[in-house]
Amino acid sequence: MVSQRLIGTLRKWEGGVGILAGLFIFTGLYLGLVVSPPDYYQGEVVRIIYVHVPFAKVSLLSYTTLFLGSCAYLWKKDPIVDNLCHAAAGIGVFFTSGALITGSIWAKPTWNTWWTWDPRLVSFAILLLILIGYLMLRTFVDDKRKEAAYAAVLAIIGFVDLPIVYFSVEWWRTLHQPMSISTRGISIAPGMLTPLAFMAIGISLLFFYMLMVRTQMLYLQHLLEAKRGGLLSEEEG
Amino acid sequence: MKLGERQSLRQIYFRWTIILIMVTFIFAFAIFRYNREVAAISPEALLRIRPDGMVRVLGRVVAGTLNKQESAPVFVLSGESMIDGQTKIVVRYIGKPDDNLRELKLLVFSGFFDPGKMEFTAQKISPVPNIGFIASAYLLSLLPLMLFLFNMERRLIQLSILIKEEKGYQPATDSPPLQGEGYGGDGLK
Amino acid sequence: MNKNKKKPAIISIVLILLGVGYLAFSNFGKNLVYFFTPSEVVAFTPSHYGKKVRVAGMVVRESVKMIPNTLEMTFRLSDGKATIPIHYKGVPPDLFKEGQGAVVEGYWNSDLHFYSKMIMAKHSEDYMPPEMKQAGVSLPRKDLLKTLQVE
Repeated sequence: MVSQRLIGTLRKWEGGVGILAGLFIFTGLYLGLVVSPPDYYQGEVVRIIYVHVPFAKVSLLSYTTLFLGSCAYLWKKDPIVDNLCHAAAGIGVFFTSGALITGSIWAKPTWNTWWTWDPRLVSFAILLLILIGYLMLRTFVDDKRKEAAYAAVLAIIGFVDLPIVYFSVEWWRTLHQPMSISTRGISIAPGMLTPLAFMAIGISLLFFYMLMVRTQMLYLQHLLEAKRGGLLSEEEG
Repeated sequence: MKLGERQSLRQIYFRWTIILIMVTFIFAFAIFRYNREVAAISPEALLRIRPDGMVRVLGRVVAGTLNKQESAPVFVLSGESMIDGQTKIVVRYIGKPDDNLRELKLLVFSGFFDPGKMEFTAQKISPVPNIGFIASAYLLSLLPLMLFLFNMERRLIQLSILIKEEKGYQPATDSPPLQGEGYGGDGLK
Repeated sequence: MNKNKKKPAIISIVLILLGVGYLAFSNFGKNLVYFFTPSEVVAFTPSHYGKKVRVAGMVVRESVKMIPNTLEMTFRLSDGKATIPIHYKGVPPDLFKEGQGAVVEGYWNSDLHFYSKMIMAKHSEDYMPPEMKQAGVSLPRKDLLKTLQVE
């Protein structure tokens, strides 16, 4: 059975991924907070990039996971894939709000505002609202199968926001600076790129570790509910 | 592999103790580096302490005082806030031309104080450290992250213990879990 | 899930949908033009005078003049094609600098000056230590004004 195989795989790999994520993040934090130089223009405050950018990247990564998982769920209708989507959405809400909060804290000393109606910021806030809406939708559908299907459809529709978030800084006029790493080249000095790479890889690995843990958590939670519910429904006849 | 066989809560607490120690060490290094390389004193503290060696002073260039005509720009530096009547010192900047130097701007000046001439000679200009913003960005992202993950791991273990204790638990290898039925069983085909 | 919880859940979903709709259609739609460029501002007709807009460009070097004993200053903002004079009242942000980008919020007056009380500093996507900057190293340089250009 697919579920059992998947749970087995997750349990086999989660330890390794978790440890690797930890090593990358500790190295990245040390390099970012202690070793890396200040920026010529922003000074010390540039260090916020080492949490803000990885958080923002992982927000997009979790929504992509949610989108792919939702497609897979509608195709195969495997409940554990639905657990995986549900887990990705929960983690996505966390990282998306984290990226908005760290971005706001970074914006104040650099741009001179906590928030502005810039296309990148607005499309990112919409991403957060879609994810919260997704989680809320899941709490009020009675039928588990319908819940999973509706949620998957919502996640797939919401995916249109993702390219908008990503390319907003290239398509429109924004206060947010364009991408530092793009086809035009890399415009971050090596001393700053290294900690950023460590943190980005570390937080991405941590995302996969969290996804593994949370998928199993939701799986067991549903298993437990189904067991208890099963006992009750026998009485109801 | 049985679902019930998981690490114990004690292992999790042990792991998280190590993580917290590591994070504390990194933050301690960061604070140490900040004090050694970044932290600056106010003009008021400069006049009070009158340090002999190199020192960093954080202040705002007073509007209308910056004279860029000479080879070494001279200006008056006041404290961070915009209130009148606070301590002001005369600063002479002898370093390389720096376009950061502007009136009404908060800057950090590294240099020496001459109590005889009551003048501060600056060799280097750096932007404001904004340490509060950096600290809050890191704390507001990393602490919730750790709490979120810790709760998740703990919940997973608690659930697997609960499942193990449930009566009628079947080892998952030979019988499909009941959860499939909760979803209408489509996934089992 | 029981029926008592259903109502608040539906209400909150509706609120979220309204929120998304509001963001997407009102502000977002308007803010596809987040700011104007100096060349567009120069072409403003009298119907635009006094209306609150944002304008972005490079702060022209050697153009920032503080008015002594006031918290006022003037500078010029350019997008390479047109340059407009700006009157600003307040303490400029710390990252406001000649030769760097700035987004200025205010209004274009009939005297063909732009009046503002709010400046946001726009920085480029370049990050490097001061030593590299002073040594004159330039990273694969892109156009800071890229997003300022009219299609």
